[in-house]
Amino acid sequence: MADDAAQRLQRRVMRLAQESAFINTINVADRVKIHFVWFPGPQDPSMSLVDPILGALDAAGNERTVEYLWQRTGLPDVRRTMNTGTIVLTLPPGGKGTLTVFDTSWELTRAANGVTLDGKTTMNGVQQRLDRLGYHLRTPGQVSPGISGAENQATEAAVIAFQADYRPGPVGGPSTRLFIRGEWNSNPELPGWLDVNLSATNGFVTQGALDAVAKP
Amino acid sequence: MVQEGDCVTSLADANGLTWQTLWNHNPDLQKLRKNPNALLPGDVILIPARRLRYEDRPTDQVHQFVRLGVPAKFRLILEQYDEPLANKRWSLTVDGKSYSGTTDGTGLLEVGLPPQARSGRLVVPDEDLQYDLSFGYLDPSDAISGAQARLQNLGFLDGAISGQMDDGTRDALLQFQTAHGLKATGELDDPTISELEQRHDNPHSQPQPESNDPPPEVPGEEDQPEEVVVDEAEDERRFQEMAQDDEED
Repeated sequence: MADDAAQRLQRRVMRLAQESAFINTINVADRVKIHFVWFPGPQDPSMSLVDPILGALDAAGNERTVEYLWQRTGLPDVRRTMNTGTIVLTLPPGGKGTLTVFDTSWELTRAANGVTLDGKTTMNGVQQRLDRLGYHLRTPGQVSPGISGAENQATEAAVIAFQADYRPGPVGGPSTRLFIRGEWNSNPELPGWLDVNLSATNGFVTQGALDAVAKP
Repeated sequence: MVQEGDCVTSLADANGLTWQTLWNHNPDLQKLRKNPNALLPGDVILIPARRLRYEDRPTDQVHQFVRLGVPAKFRLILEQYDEPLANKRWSLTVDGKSYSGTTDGTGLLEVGLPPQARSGRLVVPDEDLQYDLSFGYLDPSDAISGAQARLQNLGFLDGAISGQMDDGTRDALLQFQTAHGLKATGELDDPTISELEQRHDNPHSQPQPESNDPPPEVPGEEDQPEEVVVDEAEDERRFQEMAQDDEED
């Protein structure tokens, strides 16, 4: 790291008394935010999947929450509940973990340092974004994501589906499926960590699981 | 009045007291701040008068007196993605003096510092990390500025420490609350303050927070005797001073 003031990080810490049991902590990490959204989505893509569900109280008057399990190699399992539709996880570049929620397991893989999405105006960039939003380009049986950079029938179909979905309309209809959307923080401590790859191991949440949350 | 950068240790040192004496002299401040290492600028702290302490010692020996409370401590746990940065080399430069070592298995580094140390630079070469540290500038966790600094240290806040509840701070609070299973309010509520203290101010292997009971007071003057070596010249000087005092009486 260059000896440059712009590269250094300022931190406020405690100067401790001799017998003090207190400590300071610095955790070098940025946080991956996982949003649960309706799919096909509402026109406002920031609307959380669980907000309309969890905003209501259950029959006993308690705030409704959803339990999730986060498993990362080498670390203890984390079992918590969310009440906003967003989960915050720590996942280093190149790291993998498994998130289980709504009876569905999602294998999350974070891109290595320096890996970024291609530009929005390139075919590659468009295909990458479609894939992350759940409009997969692969044909049945195809292993690779189908991101080729070439304009083809699969891409056209995905674009049409995306455009059709993001129009005004009620959420939670019979065709609603659960998908996850990844966000990431750019952190000056971790230059170049710009991308999160999300891929689901078993795709969609069953309607039954959704119903269990929506109508306990 | 507490100024930015002050803590009980630095104020005690500046006034020739131990931090226990100063802390025990301020029960109202103890009710307000449970951590004597993190005061808020503007806090009122009462400085007691120093009391002389007499120690009888033989005149034909040299005695060394060790001052309590010096040096102050700096303890820091370094983590990366919630895992300890264990066994990593580090170096710390404070006021031109360099310290170095290796973190232990929990990522802990510990070093003695002058009680008046204000700033230093920490370098962890193996991880390409470099921090400018401001000692004593961490405000209490229930102050917005204190929460912001802790959120920043824990990797939840990228922005500056403004002391204002802005959108960036609310978002960082939401992230912290979500990550630790708290109710996501985006507000600095009591459960969030408690969790911030637990994650930042307390050893993770010892989840119980530090007791708020006042430490035992050290009686008398702040310098405690400990016989070590003989210095006849110094003893002679002190003998002369005492004799002169007797004559004046």
